[in-house]
Amino acid sequence: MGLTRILYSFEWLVSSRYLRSRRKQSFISIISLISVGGVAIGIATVILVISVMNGFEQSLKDKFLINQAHVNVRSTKGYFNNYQEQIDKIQGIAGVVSASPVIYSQLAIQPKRSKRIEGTIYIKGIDPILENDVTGFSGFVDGSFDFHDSALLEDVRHRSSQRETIKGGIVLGSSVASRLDINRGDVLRLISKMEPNPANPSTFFADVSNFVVIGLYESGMFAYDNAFGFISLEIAQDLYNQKNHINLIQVRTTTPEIASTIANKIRREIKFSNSGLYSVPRTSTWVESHAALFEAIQLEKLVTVIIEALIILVASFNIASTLIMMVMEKTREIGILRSMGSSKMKILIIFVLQGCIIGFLGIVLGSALGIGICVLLALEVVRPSRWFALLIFVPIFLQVAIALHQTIRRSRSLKFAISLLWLGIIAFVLYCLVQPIQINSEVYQLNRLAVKIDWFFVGVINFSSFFICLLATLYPAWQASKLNPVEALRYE
Amino acid sequence: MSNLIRVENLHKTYVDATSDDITTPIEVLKGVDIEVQQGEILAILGKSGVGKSTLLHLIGGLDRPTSGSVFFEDRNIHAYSDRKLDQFRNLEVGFIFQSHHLLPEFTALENIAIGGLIARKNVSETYSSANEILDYVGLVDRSNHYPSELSGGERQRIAIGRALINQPKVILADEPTGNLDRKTSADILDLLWDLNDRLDRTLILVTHDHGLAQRTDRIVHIVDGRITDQNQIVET
Repeated sequence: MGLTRILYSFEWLVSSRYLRSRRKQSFISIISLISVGGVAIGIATVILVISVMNGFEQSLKDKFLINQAHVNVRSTKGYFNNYQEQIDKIQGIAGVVSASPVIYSQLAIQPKRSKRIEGTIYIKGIDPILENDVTGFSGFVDGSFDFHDSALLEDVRHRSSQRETIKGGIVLGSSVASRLDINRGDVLRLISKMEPNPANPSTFFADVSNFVVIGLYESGMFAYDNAFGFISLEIAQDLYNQKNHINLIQVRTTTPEIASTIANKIRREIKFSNSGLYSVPRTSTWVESHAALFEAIQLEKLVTVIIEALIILVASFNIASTLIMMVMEKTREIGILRSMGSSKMKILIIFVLQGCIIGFLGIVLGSALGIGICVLLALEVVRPSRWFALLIFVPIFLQVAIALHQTIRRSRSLKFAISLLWLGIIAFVLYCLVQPIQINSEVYQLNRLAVKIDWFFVGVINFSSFFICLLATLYPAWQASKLNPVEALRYE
Repeated sequence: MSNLIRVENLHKTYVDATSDDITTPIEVLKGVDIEVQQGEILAILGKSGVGKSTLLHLIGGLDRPTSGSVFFEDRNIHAYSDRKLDQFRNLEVGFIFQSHHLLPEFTALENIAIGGLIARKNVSETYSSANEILDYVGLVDRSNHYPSELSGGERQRIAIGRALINQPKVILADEPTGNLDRKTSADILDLLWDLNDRLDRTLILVTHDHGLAQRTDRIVHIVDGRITDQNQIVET
């Protein structure tokens, strides 16, 4: 009822008619179209750019989260003892899925056939089952992750000389393995301690342990695969001389988003505990671990939003200038309407409505275009080549153009059908043109540009853009409303 | 007949914005008094620039006087608020201008109906009244034509029709045949007289055409912003 009243109201009738001015005034309707286009392109760009940035951020998060704990708990003084009690306590917190003990340190490595130390890597002592619960460890291991009973381990033990004791198995980061040219079944030496030789102080005794590479760990993140090796928790405690101690508790939460809340809870829970802790623990969430990157993305998003807001502001200036020209063009008509009893308010509403119609059409078209391109970018299917698309598109385009020309004065339903066909052609062209964008995975850690539409943001940008367009209409509409009707009637 | 309109000591002074000397006001009307009776056809006769149109605008509430009053049915319309004055123009007065002043984006039917839509009358009733008016002005077959598709005489007929949509008590016509040839002018004047005759509308015509003025019930001469002779009853 209300909508019908608006659609049949005097203000709506006049403003909508002015937008599609005929013949002599076609200049105005072209300007209206340009204004609609300006808003539409602004909105489409905002949605597209922000969706691509959201997609990029989400892909990075997914990539980071795939093999990492959501919360890491460390002791400020080094080690937790009696850690099982702490793990039980953490597991009792609502929102925690699992927690695993870890002891880790950096050790020098030396492949058996090499004569020199080949650098250092982090060696994590883990319980493979608990680690799997927290980081999905087993999913990234090519080979075995049973550090004690691997068949490979037995085989190497069997083949090795009496002097060489094998301490256990090691799962080695795939990039480390390829850098050192190590394969499964090879022996790797870990040097955990070096002490000066009392007899000759310029030489050292090295505490060397032999491990058999039983599996290769590949998460897809170079930084991780090139810096880690995994051994059994007990062996690691022995290696680091920290019996029954660990220096890290890894925690998985129900969703990554609550990591920070859970971290706070963990600090509170363990803070008031007077049992076997050396000190109040430090916690770090997965977001904090990559704080610099996520902050950079957030900053980039903020800057982008500001730039995009400026684009929409420029589009709204376009609306304002269109309306100012419209008011100049329609001065005499405003005088006529005033002579017929139209109030200043009605004149103001007419021009505000015009700006709002331009803004609304621009927002709807822009949203459809932006979301459409996002959806197309996200589609996995292979599109036809652009040349093929052109081959199909040109004849259809000509057909539609001819049909449009012939039916310009014909029935509405025919015009509607042709408009639909027209939209179909545009959609098809977009479908063919918008291909998934390939990106350099060595630089971005991702091989395809991901897209994620944030519907809340789309809503906010639509609403705020409409508000900006509304504001842009006020000055020209006010100018129109305060025209003196007698002078307006004389205006040529 | 009773007084429909009473104009008392009406003054209108403009400051000519286009003149270099903006401090010198131009006094267009210098104390005008007129009485117009219900159902009368009154001609306001005078040369160009003497203030005829200004007087018509003030009577129709399109402009405000510098001083003086216009009483419509004994109510001073210039004491009205802007909103009330808009309503007055919408419902009580119908303007017809020398140049038809139709809205180019609207069809003949819509041009007539728009006054009813301004008054927020029922849409379908307004369009049906507009159709009846089109029939009355003899252009029912032109209802969907735009002003650019109509002849000068047809446009002026539509303009007359537009003035009638809210059944106003008075029609104010400013040189309604000024842009038309002799034959078309005669048709338009016949239509206006018919309005007065059949619908009992009061008609105030502004003209510099003595021949046209002779057809009216009464002529008011205006010279240099003053009424010089307002009681000349035209003998028929």
